Amino acid sequence: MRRVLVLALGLAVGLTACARFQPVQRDRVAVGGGLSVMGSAVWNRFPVGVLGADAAWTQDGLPLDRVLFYVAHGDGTPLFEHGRDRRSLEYRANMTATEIADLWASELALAGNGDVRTGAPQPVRFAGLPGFRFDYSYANPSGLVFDGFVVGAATAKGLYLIAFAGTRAHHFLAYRSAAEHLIGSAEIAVE
Amino acid sequence: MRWISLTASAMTLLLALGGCSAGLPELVPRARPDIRSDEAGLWLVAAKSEAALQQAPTAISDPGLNRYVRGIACKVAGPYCPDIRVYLVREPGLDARMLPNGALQIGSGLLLRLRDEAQLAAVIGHELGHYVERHSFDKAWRQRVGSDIRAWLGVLAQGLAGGGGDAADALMPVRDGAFSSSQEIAADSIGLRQMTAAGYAPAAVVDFWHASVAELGERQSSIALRLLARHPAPGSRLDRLRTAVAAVAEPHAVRGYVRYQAALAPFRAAFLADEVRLRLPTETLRLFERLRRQQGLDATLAFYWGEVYRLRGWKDDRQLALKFYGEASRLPNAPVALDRSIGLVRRSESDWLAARAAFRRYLAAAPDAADAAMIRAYLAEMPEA
Repeated sequence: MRRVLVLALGLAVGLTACARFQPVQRDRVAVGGGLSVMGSAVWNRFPVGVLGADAAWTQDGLPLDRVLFYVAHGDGTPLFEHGRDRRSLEYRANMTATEIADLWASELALAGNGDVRTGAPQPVRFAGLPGFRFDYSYANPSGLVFDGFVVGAATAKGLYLIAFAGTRAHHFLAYRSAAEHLIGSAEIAVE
Repeated sequence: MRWISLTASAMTLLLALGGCSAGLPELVPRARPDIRSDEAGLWLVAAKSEAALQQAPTAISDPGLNRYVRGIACKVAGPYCPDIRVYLVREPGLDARMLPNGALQIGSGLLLRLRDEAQLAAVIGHELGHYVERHSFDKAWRQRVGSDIRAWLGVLAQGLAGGGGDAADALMPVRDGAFSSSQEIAADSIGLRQMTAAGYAPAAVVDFWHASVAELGERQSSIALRLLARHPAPGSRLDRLRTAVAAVAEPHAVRGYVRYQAALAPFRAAFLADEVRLRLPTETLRLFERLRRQQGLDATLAFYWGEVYRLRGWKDDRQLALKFYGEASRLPNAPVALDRSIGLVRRSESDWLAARAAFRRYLAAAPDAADAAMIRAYLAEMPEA
C-alpha cells in the first residue's frame, strides 16, 4: 500500500514538474511541424497546449499575455479545444483568411468571451510565404479586455498561425514589439 | 422506521421554514432593507455585481438606446421608477435578469427577439415583479434552508449507516438557482398589471411567450436560450397568460412596433452577427424564422440567414446561402458585405468566374473597405476562368 502511495506521489510530482514553464533559449527554437522562431529569454514556454494550440509562450503568465502557436493544422481538424461538452469548429483547407478570421472570432465567443471583435484581414508575408494578418479583441468572462493579432498562412502542410494577445490595460502594448519580432523570425521548413 | 420519522420531521421543519419566507411583503417604492438584515447582505452582493455591470466591456453605451429603454422601464415601473436601473449588455441569446437591488440587465439577444415596445414592457414588468416580490431574497433564503437541512440529513444518514441522500435531494426546494413556478406566476401577474397600467396591449405578453416557446423547441439546454431554460412549463404558462390577458378590463392596444424597430434599427445587424457568431445554426435558424414571422424578411436578415448556411458548410448549404444572398440582393438596403460573401461561396465552389465578379462588385461598392487588399489578393491568386 505504501509503495502504491509513493508511486502515486512521485507520478503527481513528476506531472506537475512536466507542466512547469521553461525559459525560452535565445536561439532558434523548433515549435513543431517544421515551424521555428527565434527565441528570446523574455519568453517562457508552457509545454502543454492551451486552447488547442500546439505551443504557448508567455512573459507574465498565460492569463495576462500569450503567444499561441498552431502548426500544420490539417483539413477537418478543430482549431480550439473546448472540452468534451463543447463543440469544436473545424478548419477547412480551402478557407480564406476572411473565413479563418470568422472562425477565430467564433472560437473566442464559444470559449465564453464577450465583445469579440476581429479586424479585416490583410495580406502579409509570413515565414516567407503569402499569408494574412488580422487584429482581434475580446473581454474574457471576468471582464478583462484583451487585444491581439493573428498572423498565419495556409500551406500544403496545413494551417500555420501565431496569435498574440495581452491585456489592453498593460500587456498588449508592453509586449507587442517582442511578439512582432518573434513572428517576424518565423520560418517554415520546406520538406 | 426511525429514519422515516426523522425525514418526516425534517420535511416538516423545511416546510415550516419555507413558509416563513413565502409571505414576504412586497417592497414599497424607495424601500431599502434594514442594514442589519440578511437581505441587506444580498443587496450588498448585488451592488458589487451592478458595479461590474457599469464597467462591463460588453455594456451597450449608446445614449439613445439606453434612454429609450429606460423610458419604457420607467413607465412600466410607475412608482418604482427611481428604484430600477437598466443596463443593456451585448450578449446574444435570450436573457434578462433582475438583481435583488433593482439593477435590471437586458441582453442584446433579447432586444433582438422582441417585436415591439409592448413586448419589452412585458419583459420589464415581469422582471420588476421579481424585484417587488423580493424573489431573490426568498430564493436565497430557501437555498440556505435547503442546504442546512441537506447537511443535517447527510449527518443523520451517515449515523444511520448509509442512505438518506435521495431523501435530502427530494427536500431541496431550489437546486439550480431558478425561481419557483409560483414566483414566475407572481412575476407574470405583476408584469401584466404594470404593462397594462403603462398603456400597453396585454396581448403582447402572450405573443412574446408564444414566439419564444416556438423558438425554444426541444433544445432547452442551449446557451442561447437561458431565459426559457430557467422558466418552467411554458405550455401551461401560456394558457395561464392567455386567461389572464382575456380577463383584463378595457385593454389598451398600444404595441409601439414602429418606435421599437426604429430604436433598434442601428444595432440590428450587429446583434444578428453576434447570434451567427455563436455557430448554433439550428437555433439561429429558428430565431431567424421567428424574426421573419414578426417583422418580415429584410435585406439584413436575409444576408445573415445566408451567413448561417455559409459558415455551417454542410452539403447543400452553399446553395442555400446563395438563395438567401439572392433574396437580400433583391431587397432594399442590401449590406455591402453581401457580394464579398457571395464571392467566398463561389470561390469555395471553384466557380472562379462568379467569384471574381462578386469580389469585383464588392470592391466597386466599397473600394476603401478595410479588407480591400485581402480581397484583391484573393482575386490575384484565383486561376483564370
